[in-house]
Amino acid sequence: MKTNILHTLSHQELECFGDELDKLRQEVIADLGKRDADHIRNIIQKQRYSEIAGRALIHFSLNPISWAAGVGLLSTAKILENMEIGHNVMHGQYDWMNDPQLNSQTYEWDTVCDSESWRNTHNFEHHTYTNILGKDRDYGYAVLRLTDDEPWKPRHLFQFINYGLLSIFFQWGVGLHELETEKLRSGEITWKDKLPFIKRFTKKAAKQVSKDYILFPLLAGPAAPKVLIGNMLANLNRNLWTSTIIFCGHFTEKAQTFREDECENETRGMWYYRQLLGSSNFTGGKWLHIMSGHLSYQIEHHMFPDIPAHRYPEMATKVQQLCEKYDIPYNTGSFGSQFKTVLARIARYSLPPKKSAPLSPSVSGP
Amino acid sequence: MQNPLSNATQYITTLAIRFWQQEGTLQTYLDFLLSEIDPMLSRKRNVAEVIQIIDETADTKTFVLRPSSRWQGFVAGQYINVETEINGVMIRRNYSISCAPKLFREQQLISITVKKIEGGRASTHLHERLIVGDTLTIGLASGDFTLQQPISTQPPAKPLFIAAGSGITPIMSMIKQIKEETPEQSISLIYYVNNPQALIFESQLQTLSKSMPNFSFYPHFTESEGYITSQQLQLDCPDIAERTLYLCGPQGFMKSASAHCLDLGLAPERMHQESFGSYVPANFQPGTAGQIRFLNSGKYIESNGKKTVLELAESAGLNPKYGCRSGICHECKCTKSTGQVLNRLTGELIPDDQTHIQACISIPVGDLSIESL
Ligand code: FES
Repeated sequence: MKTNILHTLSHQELECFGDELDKLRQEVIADLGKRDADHIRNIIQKQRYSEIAGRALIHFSLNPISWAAGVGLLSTAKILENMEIGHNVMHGQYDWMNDPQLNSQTYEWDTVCDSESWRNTHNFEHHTYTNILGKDRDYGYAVLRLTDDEPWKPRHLFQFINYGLLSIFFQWGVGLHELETEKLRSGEITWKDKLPFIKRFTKKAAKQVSKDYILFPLLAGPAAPKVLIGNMLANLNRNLWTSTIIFCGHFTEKAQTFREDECENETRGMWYYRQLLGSSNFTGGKWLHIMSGHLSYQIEHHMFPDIPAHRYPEMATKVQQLCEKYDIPYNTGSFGSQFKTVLARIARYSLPPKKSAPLSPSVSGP
Repeated sequence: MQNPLSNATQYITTLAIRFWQQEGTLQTYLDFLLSEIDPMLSRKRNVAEVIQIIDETADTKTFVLRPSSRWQGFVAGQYINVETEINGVMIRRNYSISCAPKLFREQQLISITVKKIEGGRASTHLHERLIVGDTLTIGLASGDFTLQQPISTQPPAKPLFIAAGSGITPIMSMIKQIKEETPEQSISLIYYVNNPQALIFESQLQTLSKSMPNFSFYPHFTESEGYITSQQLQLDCPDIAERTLYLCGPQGFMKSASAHCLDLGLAPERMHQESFGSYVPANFQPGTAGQIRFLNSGKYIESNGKKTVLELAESAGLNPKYGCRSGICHECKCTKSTGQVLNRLTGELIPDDQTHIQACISIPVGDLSIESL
């Protein structure tokens, strides 16, 4: 991907663009109220019912069908909790409600990833340095090569395997992200530096593992194995789903990357612009959006990470109008087509770069 | 040697207890199911049902509440925290309990008396929206503005109550308690309000003064009589120096009342007071200087009204948590205790009720105290 597109709008235009987005943000903030509180409470209610029903069905199922229904419900509950509730609450989207249960700094979600660590790696690093190579460690999660700006190595030939493993164990990947294994390997940091993180992570992971794989199965007595397997499957489903959604948000074909020097002394307008170019949306029905935590509106999420996500659909209309006005590409498409371009991108960058054509087109006469 | 089996059971029980207590698992879900059936069944929150609403004056109402069975009772003079949700925002306010402890002992009811404050969100909401049958989330009773047991003073000092406006509420509860326990005791109440229409609990007070032989009640109306003076106090209560004082009302009133009482020879250790009334936001100017206090570290620093709370904390030698420093990540969230701040991104004043603020985009307007950073 070309990374220098940031400078195609004039400085003046960028600032106007930024101002209009700021205005949109203000409008929505001024309008926050009961509707938003009702939305999140309603989702929490649905998530709790489906978790209770799911676990009950897994426990007491008499046949494989009711057991499978239980797994489905538990997977749904876990996805809702991680995406529309946990992720969004931890972004501070509902802090204005003053409700201690929905406070970004104290919320703890249902995954092995410790929320403190998430707030640091995701809310700060990823959202501030979105798609800046070398700064946004979410870019390819340090295991995938997704741009020619990263030098090709033979191991990248097998990156599809890495991708599969990352998706299957996604919660562990995300949980261990702060470990920064690449820096440990290069000796930039030592294990000792990471000790506080390892402690926190172990504590959280132990809690999760004992919940899903020890205590709930034990509660079922002789039916323990089916509970264990059911819980495992629910976690697996959630992992696959969340990883797919997240990959569709930043690693589609047209999502751009940036160099650190391009983003120095960035203004608010430029920041918005970079968020826009680095993200991609996908279209779908209401529940597809809810199940993706509205990360289907990744563009809007990156521009307004702390605005309640269920507002993104209405904001997206205005963002698109602005994009048309300033002639900026707005990356969207159906879920299927966006995911296909993700797979294509992983495949393409498994291979070394093609000998590139000369950069400047030769000028030839008519 | 210890029995390995008992060791194992012990281990499993500890695990099970932790499992039970863990947020987001069994207990949360059980409480969720119970409150879905009836909010009063919640084990985690104290819910109270509104039983009756009584108009006291044109702008004051008493709400009679029935707390859930888990609520633990109160001592006359204490207050409860009342939580209401207004347009999605949770707002908490403290209100004194205005009934006698007997009402709770015998009928499991309590009452709070709320004056509607111009522009006050919580009081307006309670006045205009709350109806009989609604539920409120309340806290346990707290506060140490309560009747002192006459242990050391011989003979026991007679109580003198001085109240202004809605500061009468905790005092009402105390007087009712005295009426039940020692109706013969000699007590005085000096009560300041703007005019006769603003007298809260007028008929109740009249009845009390009739049924308690040694209860002297002195209402005063500031519109016709002016503010509290030493002369007036001396006139109402000539033996003020021998009394135990219970004082409650708006800040300004309490300041002058307590000064007068000290002048008249009342010992400071016999003075008990409860601050009351709402906080009136001062007229602010961006760039207003002030002092910022960081309560958990005890440090403070002067602000020129231009730097953010985060920058100020750092200049004060603290090490606050932060991420983006531009309002995106919410890593810098801190808890504000008093004072006002301006949102650097929008130029707007952050509402008083919002206690969690982003340090990196909040600029103090005047004095500010930060609880935790
Ligand atoms: S440091 Fe990121 S919001 Fe304040």
